[in-house]
Amino acid sequence: MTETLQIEGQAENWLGIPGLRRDLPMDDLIEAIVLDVLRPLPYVDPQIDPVKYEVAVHRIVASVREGAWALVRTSSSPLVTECGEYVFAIYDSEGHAAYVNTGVLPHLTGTEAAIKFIRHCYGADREGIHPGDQFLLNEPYLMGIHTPDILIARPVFAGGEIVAWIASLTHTIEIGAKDPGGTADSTDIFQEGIRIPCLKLISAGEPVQHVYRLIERATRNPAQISLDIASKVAGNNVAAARIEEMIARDGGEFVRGVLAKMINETETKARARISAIPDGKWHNVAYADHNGLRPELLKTELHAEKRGDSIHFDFTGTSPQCPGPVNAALPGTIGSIFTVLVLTLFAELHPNRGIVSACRISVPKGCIYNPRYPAALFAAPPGPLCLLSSVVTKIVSEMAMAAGMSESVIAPWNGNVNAVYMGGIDQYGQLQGSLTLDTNGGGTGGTPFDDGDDTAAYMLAPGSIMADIEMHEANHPVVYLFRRQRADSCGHGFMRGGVGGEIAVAVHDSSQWRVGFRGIGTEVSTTRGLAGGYPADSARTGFIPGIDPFKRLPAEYAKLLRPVSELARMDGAQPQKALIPPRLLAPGDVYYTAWCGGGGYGDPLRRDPKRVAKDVQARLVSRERGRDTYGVVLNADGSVQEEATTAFRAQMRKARLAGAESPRLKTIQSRARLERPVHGVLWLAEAQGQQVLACGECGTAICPDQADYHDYVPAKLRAPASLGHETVRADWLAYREYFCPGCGVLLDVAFEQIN
Amino acid sequence: MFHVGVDVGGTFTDTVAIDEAGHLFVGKAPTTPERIVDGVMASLADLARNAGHDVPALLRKTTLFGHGTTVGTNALVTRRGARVGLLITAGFEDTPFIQRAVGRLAGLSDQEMRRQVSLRQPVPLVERSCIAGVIERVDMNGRALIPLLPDEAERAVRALLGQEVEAIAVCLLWSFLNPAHERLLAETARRLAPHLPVSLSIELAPKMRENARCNTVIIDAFVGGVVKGYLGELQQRLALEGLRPSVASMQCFGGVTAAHYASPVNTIGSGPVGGVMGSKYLARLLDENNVITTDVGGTTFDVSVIWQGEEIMAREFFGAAGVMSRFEVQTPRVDIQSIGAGGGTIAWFDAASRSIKFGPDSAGSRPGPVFYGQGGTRVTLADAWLILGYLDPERFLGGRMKVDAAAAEAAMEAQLARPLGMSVIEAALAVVALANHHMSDAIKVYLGARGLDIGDFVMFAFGGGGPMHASAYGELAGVKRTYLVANAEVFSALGVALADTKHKQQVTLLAREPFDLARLGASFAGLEQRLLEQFEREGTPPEAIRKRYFLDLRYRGQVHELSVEIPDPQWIAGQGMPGIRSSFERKYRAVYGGASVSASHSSLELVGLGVDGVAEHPKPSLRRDEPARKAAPKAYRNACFDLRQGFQRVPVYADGDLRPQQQIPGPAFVQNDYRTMLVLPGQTGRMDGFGNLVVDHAAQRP
Repeated sequence: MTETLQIEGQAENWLGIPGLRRDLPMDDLIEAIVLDVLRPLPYVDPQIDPVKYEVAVHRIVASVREGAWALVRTSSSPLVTECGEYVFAIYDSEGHAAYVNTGVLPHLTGTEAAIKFIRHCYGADREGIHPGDQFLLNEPYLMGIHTPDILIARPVFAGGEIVAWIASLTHTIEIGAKDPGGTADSTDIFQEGIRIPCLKLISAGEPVQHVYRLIERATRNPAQISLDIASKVAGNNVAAARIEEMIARDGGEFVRGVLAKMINETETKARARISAIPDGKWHNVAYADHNGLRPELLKTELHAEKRGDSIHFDFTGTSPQCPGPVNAALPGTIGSIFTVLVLTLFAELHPNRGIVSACRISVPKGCIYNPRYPAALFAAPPGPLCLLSSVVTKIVSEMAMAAGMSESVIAPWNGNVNAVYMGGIDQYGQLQGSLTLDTNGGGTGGTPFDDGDDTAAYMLAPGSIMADIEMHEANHPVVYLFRRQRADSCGHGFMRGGVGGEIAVAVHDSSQWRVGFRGIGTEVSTTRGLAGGYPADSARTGFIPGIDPFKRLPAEYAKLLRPVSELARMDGAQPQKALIPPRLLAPGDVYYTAWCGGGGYGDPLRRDPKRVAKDVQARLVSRERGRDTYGVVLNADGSVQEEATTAFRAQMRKARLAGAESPRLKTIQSRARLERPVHGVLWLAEAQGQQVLACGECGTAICPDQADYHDYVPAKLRAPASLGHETVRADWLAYREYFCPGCGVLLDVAFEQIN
Repeated sequence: MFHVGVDVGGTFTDTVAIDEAGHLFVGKAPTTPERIVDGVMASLADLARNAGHDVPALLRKTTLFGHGTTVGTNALVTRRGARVGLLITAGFEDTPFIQRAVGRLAGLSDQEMRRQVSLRQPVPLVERSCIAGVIERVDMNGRALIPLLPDEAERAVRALLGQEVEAIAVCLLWSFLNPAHERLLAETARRLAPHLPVSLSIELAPKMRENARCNTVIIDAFVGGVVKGYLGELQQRLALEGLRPSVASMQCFGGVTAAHYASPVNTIGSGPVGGVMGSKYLARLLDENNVITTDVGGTTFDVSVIWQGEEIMAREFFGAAGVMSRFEVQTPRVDIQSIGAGGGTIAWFDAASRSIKFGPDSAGSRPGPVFYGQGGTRVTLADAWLILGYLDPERFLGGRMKVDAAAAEAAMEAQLARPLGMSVIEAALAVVALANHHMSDAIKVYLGARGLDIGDFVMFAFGGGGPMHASAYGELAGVKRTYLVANAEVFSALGVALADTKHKQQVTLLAREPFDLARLGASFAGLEQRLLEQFEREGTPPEAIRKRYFLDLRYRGQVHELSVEIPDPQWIAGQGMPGIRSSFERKYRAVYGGASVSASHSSLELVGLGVDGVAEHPKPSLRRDEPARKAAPKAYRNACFDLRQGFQRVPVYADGDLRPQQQIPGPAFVQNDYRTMLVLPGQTGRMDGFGNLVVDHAAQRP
């Protein structure tokens, strides 16, 4: 029995998608399937006993976890085993996600499209979809994000009917792109490795050998990819067996009903959360600095409007697509928005299709976030999608502040990742391509209650982990000089962002090893602060050829263990841009990358001086920033000079206002009666009989409550270098600071493009 | 002559004593967190009284005094330990702060991991000012690329002494392949500060993965003083009272060792191991090869297994051997998994799905369930027990605690029954059903993730709540038989009393196919030598040691290795590479399923090898030969198991009232002051010769 029999004849609602026709041109069909993830699902209450429902939900979640566990333990991709870059999920019979295990969350939505596409390809095909089948695909235009993401899905049957789908997706490390471990300068997707729209990998339990051969032969690490495929097949089998046990006991109808109710439970809760946010509009702009072929300032602009129980995200204003791989296909774009929601506003909900029903998303065709086929996509995760997560985080946090949901408020996390990718002949004489994942340990944003987490995480893959140094050196021909936290890499603030880190590594025991960099953000800051917190610093990458660290005497070797910012200035150092194709290095050549932290929350002048002193002592914040950014005066022993600090901070606030440009519109200058905080130190308040925004520090009324306060307050343009952001190009970008006209407290810091 | 076991729990300190004939005596006293030794002595006094002795008489007759200590765990959790100084390879001083970003996640559930806004890495147990980078570097082949100079070693140690550290931890990159640099640092520290304890990574965890290794030495140094101090004090008090042998300290990898040789870090998490080791012995007595061990406490449900007669070792998701208080560590430990499900677990109504949820929050023992009347307001599993008649309100904790049944019912009514449109009884039944499903799901996930088939197992249930739930979750999980074990309420202490001496030696040895077999043989010989020395200093002769040999293998590129047992080192020479490969693939297939074995082009990687040694202690029989006083119920109590049946009159037997082989049809309770065994309607319980009540599920299945 195949699915063909059930859906034949519904030409106008192909796959159950309203208006979809089976014979649409491929690009249109793919786009329609991708966008279907945003369609609210009709809900019919399956009338399930509440206790049986809860028992079943627990069983389903446990089944998914068991399958994911089997996958992780057998995978050989360091991105899975060390970095948590995998997705494991269960879907209903049509492909709507009912439970997604924490992993790479941007795939939450894209994998749905994959399953619908399998139904499209095989549901009407002579081969059909049968019990024991498994399907493989990695088409990024269909499911995001780039070619190394390979999904394997397996239907679960009750008799002759599909009740559910199990799917697993991992990021394999090598997919046969033009360079080992991927690309930084590809100009279309055909240079980015093998692409499989959809193939049957297992037919009724039997492996289809020619499909395995095709894939293995296409990569530089055939053994690794075959283990990776085996691990997904094994994981799917484990979870499917558990669901089949449930079907045998409770029947297919019951399991269908539970999956539908799980989606509806999340949707109900998601709508309630969104309804609690006051209606309003939000806006954010951030920049990238490289298009893959050359440096270029690229804009990501996002408008959000919340009305009733839904949010509309609009990308109008974003730069056109790039000639290089700094583009993100639509499914990845959609998925990254939901990643932020799942980790903030919706953290307590079962992550599934139910969260998307409350959102609309408009992305102009031909922009970075919805490029035309066959644009190159390889740098999407460390580039545009990481930047987007940072941009969305600020907007969502501002919504949460307005709603009083302070537990969901967090400044943007690091908006870029500068991964080292590499390959060649390793110390065992074997061919391989690989990645260094240390840069996934970025800084999270500051919150109203605490500093961001240092060297901690990557928002798009919250399960990210760095490999142990020893594990990395055992598998690659390299020796680290250092891996450490990076001072001043965070955005400063009342609560600072978490710091990023830095590494310097020497090639060792191989003369055929190539190293490149993939990411964005060496010449711009990608990471804004929140509510008056500062942006994080940019990244640094580079090579130091020929310094042979291990041929030096210990005392000379010790001198190399300096911060990257100093190494980059030594003789022979070659600082690099963000996206650099792999270069052949000799043994004893050194490469380095220094990555950024999270954005700051709130005005740094409000930070407890003792916390600043502690950070200075820990070398997370420099003495200079302690003074010129936090206004803290320290004694020689590192302790705080309380009185001098108070005086200096008062003087700094005055200086802010003295040198500021006048606002565009006139501020209401009366005192206000404060009601509740709605944006950092800004409060909803009452003045002269009207609702206003007012400064919670000094009580000065600023503007009508519905107006944009930026238009009513003094502002000043600040050069990035004055915060120590030395590699941010001054001819591209400056930081605009907005102050309370009454007390000079910092309300917001925005990126401003210089012509 | 007695074997004595002690288990210091959160509420009670349990002691048991067994004589050669298998007579078993039990002592209980409240745990005294500020001075643990006092609680132990009070529990011993209770024990001695029950055994008809005074404490000195009991201790003089004690040949083995086994002890599972929680002082290390408490020091770690409350962060009250030594001021630790860390010596680490220069360039990597931030390792404890970076925690390779796994610190944010290690030991957390999926749901906790999604709370990304508030997640933070754990604060290290060492201050930044107490970390000294040491100029030296060794590569993956053990070559010293940058030598450690004696002056540098002295400079680094002096830097820590200047910070007035109380203990020194040492972890250098690749030190397990070239221990010279760590040794030089240790010698330097001992010369400059002879009184300071030094924890070396080459001794405590000579295995690859510096983050877990570094955490291991830091934790060892941090809790070392507290643990050693406590064990020393205990030994002294006991010796004064007449104990002759040294206290045998339980270790987290199973088995005991003389307390003065126990590494402090190895005592952490050793408490629950007692139950597993007790299960191992009981399994042998019962001739059961494969056993699922389950322990239902106040807040957690612990699962582990005995597989083919042996406990199994843990392997964490991300490659470390274990997680201690959110720090990944490289200390081998018995593979016990916990979920939040116990008597204190809270049940609540979820408005969006209009359904009832169970946990993971717990009221613990303070404030505890609503019926404790100690300020707990939210409905717990134990409140449901009371409402349904599963607890004896007159004899709860031996009558030491008054129960407030009306408060429990009112809370059940308001928080669950009314919102769900159910009766109080229906809601209470739902809470118990959910708990049973959570427990059986935890068992299924545990076995599934390790490639074990539930159908091959029987189950043991212990802990305060185990015998109450196990006849239900055993049935749901699909085991053949469930044993509601005798002395379930002190089973961990019993396990400690019965544990054998165990030592482990392991080493990292990296190699790709084909391995240098002669080098493998030499490594095993070195490990065996070290193992024998460990036993020798405790006075165990070589012929009393049972040894097991392991190879840690994986496919190239994988992060998770599998430990494959081989008969002995000579086997390697005989079988060669093909034998090693086929042993690995057999194990791999068993764990991950047939479809997962890779095709011919995946080469094998050797990661390490290990030797375990166990010296068995003579053990008493646990058989109960004495005839029961009577074979009839002492009372009846109304209880409800099913809404349609409603409350029914259920016979209540006292512990020891049943004679061996007596069959009792369910429903029935068998209870003492601290726990209740429950046989459900439709089931039959059979008393075996060891005092266990056995529920045979297979017999009831069609």
